[in-house]
Amino acid sequence: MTDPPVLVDPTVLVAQGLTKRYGGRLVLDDLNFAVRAGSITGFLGPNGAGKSTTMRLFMGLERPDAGAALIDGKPLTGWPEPGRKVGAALSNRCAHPGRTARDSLRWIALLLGVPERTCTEILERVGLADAADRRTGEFSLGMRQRLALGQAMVGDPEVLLLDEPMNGLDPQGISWLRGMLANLRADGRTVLMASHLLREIEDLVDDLVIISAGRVVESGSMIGFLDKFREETVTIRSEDVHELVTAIREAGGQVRGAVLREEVAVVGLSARAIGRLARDRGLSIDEMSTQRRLEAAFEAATGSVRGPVSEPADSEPGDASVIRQPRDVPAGTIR
Amino acid sequence: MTTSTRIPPAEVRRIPLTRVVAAEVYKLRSIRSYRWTVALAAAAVVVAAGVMSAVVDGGGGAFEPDPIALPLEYFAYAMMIIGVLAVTSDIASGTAAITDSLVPWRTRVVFGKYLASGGLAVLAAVAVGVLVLLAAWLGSGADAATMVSSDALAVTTAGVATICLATVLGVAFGILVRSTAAAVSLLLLWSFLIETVLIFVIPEQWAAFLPFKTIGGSRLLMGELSAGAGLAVFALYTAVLVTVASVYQIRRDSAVV
Repeated sequence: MTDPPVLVDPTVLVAQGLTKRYGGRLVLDDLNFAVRAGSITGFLGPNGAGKSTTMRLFMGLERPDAGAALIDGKPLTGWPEPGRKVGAALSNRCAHPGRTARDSLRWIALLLGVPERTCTEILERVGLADAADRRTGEFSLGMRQRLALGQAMVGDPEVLLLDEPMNGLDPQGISWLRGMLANLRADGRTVLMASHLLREIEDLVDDLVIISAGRVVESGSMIGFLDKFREETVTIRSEDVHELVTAIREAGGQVRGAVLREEVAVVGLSARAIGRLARDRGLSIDEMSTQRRLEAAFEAATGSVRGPVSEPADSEPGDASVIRQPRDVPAGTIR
Repeated sequence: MTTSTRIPPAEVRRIPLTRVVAAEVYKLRSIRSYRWTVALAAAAVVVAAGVMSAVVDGGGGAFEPDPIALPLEYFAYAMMIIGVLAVTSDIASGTAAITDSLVPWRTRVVFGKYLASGGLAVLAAVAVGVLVLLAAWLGSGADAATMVSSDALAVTTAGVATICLATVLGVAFGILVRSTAAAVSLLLLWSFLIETVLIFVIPEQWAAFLPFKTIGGSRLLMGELSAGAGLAVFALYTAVLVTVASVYQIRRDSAVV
């Protein structure tokens, strides 16, 4: 077991050599990371990387085979009223379809000894006041996502663990959630948020923990991460794609992944340089786009490939802002 | 909210069992289909008790136990299924995982569920027991003394207690199996098919000790055990299943959907 990374700020969540097997399959392999108090930390990784398992271990839903998931220095069972210390929205399957939204909060309020009026306040806060007395079986995915977040907040916890909280939310809902998370941070709360929607979290999170195949690939501040993987990826669509690839390689650029139809992703050359190259060689460019920095950095860090490999169910085909399965997983933990 | 981490010792503030029970009771109460199921099952067995007592001739005004024992047995089956659902629908809806994260002490959650389901079952069983006794009295036209005789009260009391035990047994079986379809199917297959087959396979005096042959109308049919003895055997089966389910639940990971 290796030591968790040393950070200057106080840490509130610490994964200490977390190891978990399901049958013979190793899901978490000596996972170590720490989350700063009062920060929003993005928890990234391809599908099956172990993000949800890690969160379940923090919430005491599963037991690690080795290591510990600590919340402010203690496991969840060390807190007398865990719901007042940490809240979690790990799934949008969070309520019995025959129970109303209000009742889905009230049983939690009873459990935590929270006044009933808190439920009404939370329903207003998550935008479900009008649906408070509707049965949750009638709810859309986005509404269930809001309800799950509301349930996590009943105990007014200091720490929130959110697993893909933007799933099912429309753009307005995502904007609302980003605002809410920013407010929570302003209140001094800590949020660990798993997400594959890189564009949506890019300018929200303070820190990142990136895992792949159950190990930490990268962790630390978002700015530091971007600085480390500064590489810009340019996606080009051209009728002369093969000639263009040859020219790009000659000019020192690298092609990332395979050439798909008339499209190719390039690193090592700026969009401007590629445009100039095409003009000088008389090659056409139908479309050219620069990937957002986090996406490019994430791919550089994890060695992800473009293409239809194990896409999240709700991602759009060709959406470059979602995390895809890594090609090669770095053997060691990078910090 | 503050980010202070100083808290009193765990034994001072740890979530008490009473709150766990209150939350579990609220969970059950807040599902309309459960309320309707219990109410309709209660109405059905009360009507059945009245009809049966009107047509069954005890002979010379003697107490006839079947019109009380059989309806209460069927109400016990209905409550047993509610007991299963109290666990499995929690799991299927993701509510169980939330509960386990809020109360990460499995023993407390498990016993909270037993107490909540058992407690609600006591209320339902007493009400149904009284109504069934009244219906049997009205249906049979027997005098009041017959219906409050020790025989009648023993059958009714055993029936009421069986309903409570069957509910807890359903909870325990739900904890073990975790799936509504599997748990309900297995319980009904066992009680209606396997036990029936076993009656023809094993000696009758042993068959009388099969779990669902120790209660209600089945016990009367077997004719081996008294109401009290049958109840004691059924309680033993329930205790064994509750213990096994509790130990199993405490040792395994939470059910996550």
